[in-house]
Amino acid sequence: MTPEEVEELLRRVPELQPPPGLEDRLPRAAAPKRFPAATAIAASIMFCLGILYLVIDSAQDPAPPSLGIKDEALRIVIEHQGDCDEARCTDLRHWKQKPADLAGWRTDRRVVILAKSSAPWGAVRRALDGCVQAGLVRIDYSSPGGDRPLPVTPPPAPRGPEKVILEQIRIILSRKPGREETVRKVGNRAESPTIEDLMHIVLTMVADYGKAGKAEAPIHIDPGADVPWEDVLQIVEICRKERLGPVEFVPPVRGKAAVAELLPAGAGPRTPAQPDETSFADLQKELGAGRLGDAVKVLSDMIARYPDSSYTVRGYTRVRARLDGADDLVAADYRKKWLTLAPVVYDALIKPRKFVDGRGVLDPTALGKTAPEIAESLNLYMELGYMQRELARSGQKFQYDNASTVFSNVLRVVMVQCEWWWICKYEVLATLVDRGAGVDLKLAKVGLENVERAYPEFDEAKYGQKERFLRLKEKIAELLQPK
Amino acid sequence: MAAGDPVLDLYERVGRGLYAYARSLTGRADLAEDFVQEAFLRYLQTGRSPLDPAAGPFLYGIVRNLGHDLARRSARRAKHESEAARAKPVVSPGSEALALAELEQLPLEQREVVVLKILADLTFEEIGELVRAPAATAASRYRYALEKLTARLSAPQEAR
Repeated sequence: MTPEEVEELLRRVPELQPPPGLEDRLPRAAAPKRFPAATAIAASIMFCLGILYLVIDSAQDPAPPSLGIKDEALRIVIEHQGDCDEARCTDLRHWKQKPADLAGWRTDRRVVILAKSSAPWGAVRRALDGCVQAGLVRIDYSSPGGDRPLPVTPPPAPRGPEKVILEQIRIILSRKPGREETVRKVGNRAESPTIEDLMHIVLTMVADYGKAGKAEAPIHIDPGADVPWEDVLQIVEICRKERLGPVEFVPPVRGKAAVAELLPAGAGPRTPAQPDETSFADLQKELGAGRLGDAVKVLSDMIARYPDSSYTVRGYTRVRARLDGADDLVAADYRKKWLTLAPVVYDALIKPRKFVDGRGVLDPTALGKTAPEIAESLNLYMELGYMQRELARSGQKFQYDNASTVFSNVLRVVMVQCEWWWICKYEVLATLVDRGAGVDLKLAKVGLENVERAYPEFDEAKYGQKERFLRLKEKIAELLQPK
Repeated sequence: MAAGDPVLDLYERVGRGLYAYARSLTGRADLAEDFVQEAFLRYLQTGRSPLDPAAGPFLYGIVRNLGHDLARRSARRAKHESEAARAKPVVSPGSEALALAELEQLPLEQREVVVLKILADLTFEEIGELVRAPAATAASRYRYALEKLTARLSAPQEAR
C-alpha cells in the first residue's frame, strides 16, 4: 500500500464522514446584510483584475512543472556560487538552490535535497521551508558523508527503579566566531566535546522517555544557520540508524537577548510579538486553564530557546508554584540558573512599581486602576513570594519570612473568598509547613483547622484549592506523627 | 441545504473536516456531533459573521480546545481501562475500519495533522497555526504519521 492509497482510504472511512442531519442541529445566525452596490462593483473589478493576472501569469510560464513523472524524485541541488572558499563560506547569498521555485510541483512527489557537505544549514533550511510552503512533504536528504562512522555508546543499564525527569531533547549546534568546528550540546547542558558524548546524553534521555512509558522520544535539532550541513546530517543519520525520533528541526529564533536588555518584562518598550513574551502568554493561558502538563511543555521550550529571558524566569516561577514543590517535571538543569537570575529579575520588575509602602504593607493604589492591571500586578507580586520560598528551599531560610509577608499582604487587600484569597490562604499555610521549624507545623495545623471550620468545603473546588488544602492537611498530619 | 443561509454555507465548507477532526479527537460519533454544534454556537456567540474568511480556523480552534479539554478529563479514566477494551477490532486488512483503528493508534499530535490535512484539506501553514507549531513541524508530523500508517496497513496484506 502506498501513502497515496492510505490517504484515499482515510478519505473513505465512513466514521469520519458527518452524519446526515447534523446541519439541522446548528444554530442560526441573523440574516446576512445585503452588500451595498459599491461593494459589488469593487468585487467585480477585483475579479476581473484577478483573471487578467492569471492570464498574464500563465502566458509567462506556459509549462507548469506538475507534469513530471510521479515516482521520479524532485532533486533540489544546493550549490556554492561565489568567488570565496566554498568550504568556509557561510554567506547564504552565495548558496543557490535549483530549482529555485518549487510552486506548482505535485505535492505527493518525493523530494531529495542534494547539498554539499560544507553548505551552511541556513541554505538547507531555506530549501526545506520552500518545500513545505509548496506542500512537498516527502523529503529526503543526500548523504555526502554517508560512510562516516556513527559512534553511539548505549547508556548504562538501569540498576533499579529510579526517578525519571523528562525534558525536551533538544540538540543545539552552533559555531562560535573564530572557531572552525561545530559546538554541540543538549539543551542547557554543557558543551559535549565529542559526538559520542552528545549521543550518549541523547540516548540516556531517550531511555528516560521509555521508562516513563512514552512510545516516542521526539528529538529537536536546533542548528545555527552557519553550521555545516554535514554536521546536521550526521545527527540525522545517527537518529535514523538508531531508530530515534521522530526528528524535528527547530525553526530559527528571531532574537535572543540578555537579561539586562529584557528588563523590565512586560513594562518596557518591547514589541508585543516578541517570541519569549508570546510563549509566556501561552504559558499563562495553559496555567489559567489548569493544563499544567501543557504549561510545562511551553516552559521547557522557553528554557531551551530563551534561557536568559525574564519571561522564562517568570514562567519557571509560575510553574514551580503550581507543582507544589514536586521536582519531577521541570528541567532541573535550569534551576541553578533560575536561582541566580530570579532575584535580579524580580528586583528590577517590582522595585519601580512600589507595591509596598514604607511600613511594608501592600498599597492597593499601586496595583493599577483597571482590573487587568491589578491582576497583572498581583500575579507579579505573588511570583515574588513564590520566588522567595524557592530561595528558602534552596538554603536561604530567612526568605520564608519574606514569602509569608507577601502572601499575607495580598490577603489583606483582596476580597474574602475570591480566588486570590484562597490561593494566598493556602500559600501562607504551605510556607509554614515548608519551613517546619519550631511550632510552624502546629500553627499550620491550627490555621488549617480554622479555615476548615469556617468553610468546611474550602473553596468548593471553584478555584482548584480544595484538593490542595486536603493534601496539605494530610501532609501536616503525617509530619506531626511521632516517629 | 438551504441556499443562502450563511451558517449552512459555512457548514458546507468546513463541516466535513470539522466533524472528522472532532471524531478523531474524541473517538466517538456522538461527542463529535456535539463538538461541531458547540463550535458553531460559540463562534456565533462571539458576534462574528459566518461569512468571515477566518471562520474556518476559528471553528477548528474551538473544536481543538474542546477535544483537549475532554482528553484531560478522561485521561485518568483511560489509565484504568483494561487492555481488552483498548484492543484493536478484528477487521480485514486494507479496510476502512482498519484504517480508522490505526489512525486512532497514532499519537494525538500526529493524528490531528493527518485528519486536518487529508479530510479538512488545510495547508501546513494553517495546520501549524492551529496546533501552535511551525508549518515544517506539522509537515514532518504528517510524514511520520503517513509512514507509520502505510507500514501498518501494508503489513497484514503482505503477510497473507
